[in-house]
Amino acid sequence: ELLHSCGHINPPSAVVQCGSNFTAVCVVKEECMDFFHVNANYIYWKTSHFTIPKEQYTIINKTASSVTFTNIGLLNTHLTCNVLTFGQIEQNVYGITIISGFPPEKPKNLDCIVDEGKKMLCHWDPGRETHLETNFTLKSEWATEKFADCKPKHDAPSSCVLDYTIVYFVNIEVWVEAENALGKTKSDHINFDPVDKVKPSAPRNLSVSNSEELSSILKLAWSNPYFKTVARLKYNIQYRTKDASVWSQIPCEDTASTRSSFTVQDLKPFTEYVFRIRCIKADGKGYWSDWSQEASGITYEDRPSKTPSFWYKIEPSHVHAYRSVLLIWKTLPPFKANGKILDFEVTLTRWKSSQLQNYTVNDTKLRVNLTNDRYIATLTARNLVGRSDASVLTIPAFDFQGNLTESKCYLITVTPVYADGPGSSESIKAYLKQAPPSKGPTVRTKKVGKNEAVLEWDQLPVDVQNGFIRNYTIFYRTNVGNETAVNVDSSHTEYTLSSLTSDTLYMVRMAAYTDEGGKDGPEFTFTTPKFAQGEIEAIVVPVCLAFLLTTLLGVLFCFNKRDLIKKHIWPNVPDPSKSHIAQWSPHTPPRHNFSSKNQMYSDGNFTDVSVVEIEANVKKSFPDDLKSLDLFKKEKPSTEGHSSGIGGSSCMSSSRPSISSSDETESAQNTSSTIQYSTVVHSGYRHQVPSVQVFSRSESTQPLLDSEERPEDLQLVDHNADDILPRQQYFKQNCSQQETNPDISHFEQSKQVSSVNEEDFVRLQQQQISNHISQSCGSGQMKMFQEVSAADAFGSGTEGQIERFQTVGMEAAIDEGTPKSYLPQTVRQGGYMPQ
Amino acid sequence: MGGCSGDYQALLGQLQQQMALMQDTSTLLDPFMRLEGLDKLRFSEHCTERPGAFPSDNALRTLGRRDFLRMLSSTLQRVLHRLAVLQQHLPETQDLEELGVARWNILGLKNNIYCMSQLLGGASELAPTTAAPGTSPPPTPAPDAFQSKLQGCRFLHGYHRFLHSARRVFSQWGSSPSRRRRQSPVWPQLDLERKHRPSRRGKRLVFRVRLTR
Repeated sequence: ELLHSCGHINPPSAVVQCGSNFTAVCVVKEECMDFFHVNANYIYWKTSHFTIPKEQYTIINKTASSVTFTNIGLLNTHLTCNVLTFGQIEQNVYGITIISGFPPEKPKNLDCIVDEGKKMLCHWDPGRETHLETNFTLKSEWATEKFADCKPKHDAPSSCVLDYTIVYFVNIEVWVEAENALGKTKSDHINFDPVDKVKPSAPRNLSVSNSEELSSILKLAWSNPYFKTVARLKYNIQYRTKDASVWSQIPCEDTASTRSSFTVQDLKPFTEYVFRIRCIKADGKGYWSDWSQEASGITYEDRPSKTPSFWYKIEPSHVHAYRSVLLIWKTLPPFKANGKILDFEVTLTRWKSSQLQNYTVNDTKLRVNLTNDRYIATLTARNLVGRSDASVLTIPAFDFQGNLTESKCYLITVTPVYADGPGSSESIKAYLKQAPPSKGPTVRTKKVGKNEAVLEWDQLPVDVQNGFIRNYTIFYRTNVGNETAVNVDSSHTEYTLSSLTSDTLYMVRMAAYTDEGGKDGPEFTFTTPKFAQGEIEAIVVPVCLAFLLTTLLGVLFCFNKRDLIKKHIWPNVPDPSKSHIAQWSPHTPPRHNFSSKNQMYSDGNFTDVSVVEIEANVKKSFPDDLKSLDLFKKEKPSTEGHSSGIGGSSCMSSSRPSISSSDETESAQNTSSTIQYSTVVHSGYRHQVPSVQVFSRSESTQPLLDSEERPEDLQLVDHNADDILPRQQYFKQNCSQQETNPDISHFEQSKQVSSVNEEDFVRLQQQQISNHISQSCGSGQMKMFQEVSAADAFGSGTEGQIERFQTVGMEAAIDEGTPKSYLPQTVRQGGYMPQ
Repeated sequence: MGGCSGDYQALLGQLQQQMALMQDTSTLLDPFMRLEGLDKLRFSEHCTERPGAFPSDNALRTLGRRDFLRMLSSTLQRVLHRLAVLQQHLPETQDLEELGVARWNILGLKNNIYCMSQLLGGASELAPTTAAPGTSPPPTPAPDAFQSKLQGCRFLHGYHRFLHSARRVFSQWGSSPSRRRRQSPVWPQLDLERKHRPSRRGKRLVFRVRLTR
C-alpha cells in the first residue's frame, strides 16, 4: 500500500515491437523520497529479479529516473522500479509488464475449398509469428450482398469455415484482415466462383464385374456424387493386382468426361484386381475428391497359355518286353494356367504306329507300362475355357545301344531331372572320329569388278562334313600366273579377292578342312572386266558434254554473227518467185533529183523505184565483168525490140533489166503503185558457171537468188541455152502476172537491201555503171532504187557511208543525160554480187 | 461490395448454369410436394402453374435485354417473398432445407443479373437489395391448409417454368454484350429499351406480375 502510493512508471503497460527502443520513466513521490531519505539516484530497475545495469538509467530530475532498452528482442517480462531505502533496504515502487512482438504480416496464399455437402473453408498463410494476440477476420461478399465475418477458432487461427450456404456460379470476393496491438493489415482480395473450388464427394458404390466373353477386361460401375448435377466431371481410375502395392492408372484422356462406368482392358486372365476411383470438375478447377472405397474383381478364365513341363522316368519291370514308365509334369503357375486347371490329358503314341493311349489325370504324374518300343507322349492342361498347347516328349526305345559310327555328327542332349520335373536341356554336336570332308565346297562369284571379285559358297551339308570344318582355303590363279591361296574362317560364306588384274581370266577353287584334312571343290573361272563400273560413263559423259557445249557455243556464235555469216554464205538474193513486172510508162516524169540530198531522204515513197540487178560471178575481175556486159550488149539487139523500158509498154523487152531514168517523172508517177525492178542474171552465182543469162524485170521486193528459181525455169533455160525466145516468153508471163499484182510495198524492197553495207555500196556503183549501159530503160527508176538501197543500207550506218552514197547519187544524176547501158551492176572487187 | 466479373461470356455462362440448376424441379418443387404429402402423380394436374402468375415465355422473349433483366430481377424478388411465406406455413417441426438453398440461389441469381445489368449499362435500376435470406415477409392471412399446399405447389411449378423460360432467353443472347436485340422468330420485337427506357426522372416500366398465393 505504501509502495503503491510511492510512485509510478510511465507508460503503465507496454507492447513493444521487436527491434525498437523502449524507455520507461519511474517517478517517485516526494513525500516518499523524504521519508526514506532518497532521491532519484537511489532508483534502480529490475526485470524479473535481474537488476538492469545503471548505464541504461537516466536521472531526469530529483524524483524521476528512466531506463532505456535498445533493440528490444522478444520480451514478456515485468519491469519494476525500486529504491534503496535508508541506503540498503530494497523497496519496490512500481511495476509494469512489457510484451514485445511484431505487427501482423499481410496474410498470403488465401484460398478456399468447398467440400461438397459442407460449408466453404478458407485458409491462408498468416505470415510470421507475431508473439502477440492477433485476430484474423475472414470477410466475404457478393456484388449485391455482404456476408457476416468469419472468425477463426483459436485452434485453427489461419482458416475459417463460412457458415452460409455456398451458391455456385456466383462470384464471391474473399479476403482476410489481421490485427494485433502493433497494427492491422489485410490480404489481397480473391474473387472466384465457388464451383471452381469444389472438392466433390468421392464416387460411391464402386463395383467390379468380369466378362465371360473377354478374359482381359473388367467392368467398373459407380455412383457419382451430387456435384455431377452441377458440373461435368472427370476421373482417375487406378488399379493393381491384389498382391501388388503399386497402382497403375487408366490414361486420363480416357476418363475425361462424366460417366458412371468404365471397362478396363488389357488385364491378365483369371487375375484379381483392385480398383479405386476419384473425380474432379472436368475442367480441372477445384480439388480431386478423396479416393473411393476400393473394389476388386477377377477377370474371367482363358485357356492355359503355356504347356506344362513334362518328363519321364523308366523303371525296371519284371514283365518281359514291357517297362514301367513314370510320366511326371509340373503344375502351371497361375499366370500360365489362366484359370483353374481341371485336369491333364496324356496321350501316348507308339513309334510308327497309329495306336493311341489316352489318359485323363488330375494329378501331376502317370505311371504306365509300355513296350520296349519308342513312344511319343503328349500332355495338355485343361481349364474351364480350353486346353493348352501340347508338350511333346519322346520316350526312346529300350534297345537303344548306341552303335556310333565314325565321321558322323551326333547331337547329344542332356536334360537335368529334378525332383519336381525336368530342367532346361543342353545339346552339343559330337563326332566319334573326324575325317576329311567327302566333298569340297563349290565356289562361285557373287560380284566381279575390275580389280576384285566377291566369292561366295554354301556351307557343306552335315553328311559330307565328316568333322568340324575348321577353315576354308581359296586357291586362285590366272592362266599364266602362280596360284595364290587364302585361308578363310569356317564361319564365313563369302570372301573378296582384291588386287586382281583387269580383263583377265581367273581360275578359283576352294577346299574345306577338318582336323583330319581337306577336300578341294570344283574349279570355277571368271574374267575380270576391262573397265570398272561407271568408268565408261565417266569418259563418255564429259565428252558428250564437251561436244554439246561446243555445239551450243557454235550455235550461239552463229546466232550472234548471223549477219556476217549470212553475208558470206547466203547473202540476200532476190527471190524470183516473188518477182513482179508491172506497168511501165516510159514517159514517167523524173521524180527525184539526186542533186539534192534532202530530196533523197525526205520522200518516203519509193514505189517508183526500179532495180536492175545483175547476177555475176563474184570472182570475175572487172574486165571480165565488162566482158559479161558485152554479152548483154550482144543480146541487146534481140531484146531491144521488145523493150521500151521497165514498166513500159512491153514486158517482152524486160528481159533486159533497165532502170528508169530520172527524167521519167511521169513513168515514176504512173508506177507509183507498183514496185518495179528487173533482175538480170547473166552468170552463175559466185563460183557457179552460169548456164544462161536470164533477164527479168520484176516488181518483186525480194532479192533474186537464181538457185531459188523454179527448177522448171532453170530447166527451160538449160534446154534452150541458145534460144532466148523462151526466156522472153517466160518473163512475159511474169510480167503479165506482175501487172495484176502491182502492190508490193516499197518498204519490203528497202528491207531487202538493208542488209547490205559496204558491199552494197560498191554494188550501187556497179549499178551506176550499168546505168550507163541501160540508160534508155528507165534509168529514173534505177536511181530511185539506188536511193532506197543507200538509205536503207546506210541509214543505220555511218555518215561516211551515207556520204559515199550521196556521191553515187550525184553521179547517177549526172549520168542521166547520157544513156550508156540499162544493165545496172553492183561492181565489186572479185565479181558481181546480186542485189 | 465485391466487384462483378467483367467477362460477359463467363457471366452469361454462370447465369445459364444457375438457371439450369434451379429450373430442375428436384431442387424445390419435388421436395416441397414430398414434405407436404402431395403425391406427384395424383396431384400433377392440380399442381400446375396458375396463368399469369409468372411472365410467359413469349412475354420474356419479346423484351430487350435490359428490360428482360429488370423483369427477371423483380420477379425473383417477389419469389423470395413468396418463399418466405411458404416457409412460414410449413410445420415448425419440418424444415425444408431445399427452401433455404433455393432462396440463396435466387439471391445469387439476382446478384448475377445485377452484374449483367452493369455490363449492359443499366445497373442502377437493379440496385442491390438488403433482403437477406430469412427476412420475414409481412404476415398473411392463413387460408385453408390444403389450398395453401396447392397454391404453394402451383407457385413452385410456375417458378421452375419461369426459370426454364428465362434460361431459354439467355441461351439466345449473343456472344457480346452489344445492345443488339435478340431475334424472335415468332413475335414482333418490341423495343422496350428504346420506347420505354426508364429515364432518370423516374419513368419505369411496370411489369404486372401477379404472384398468387
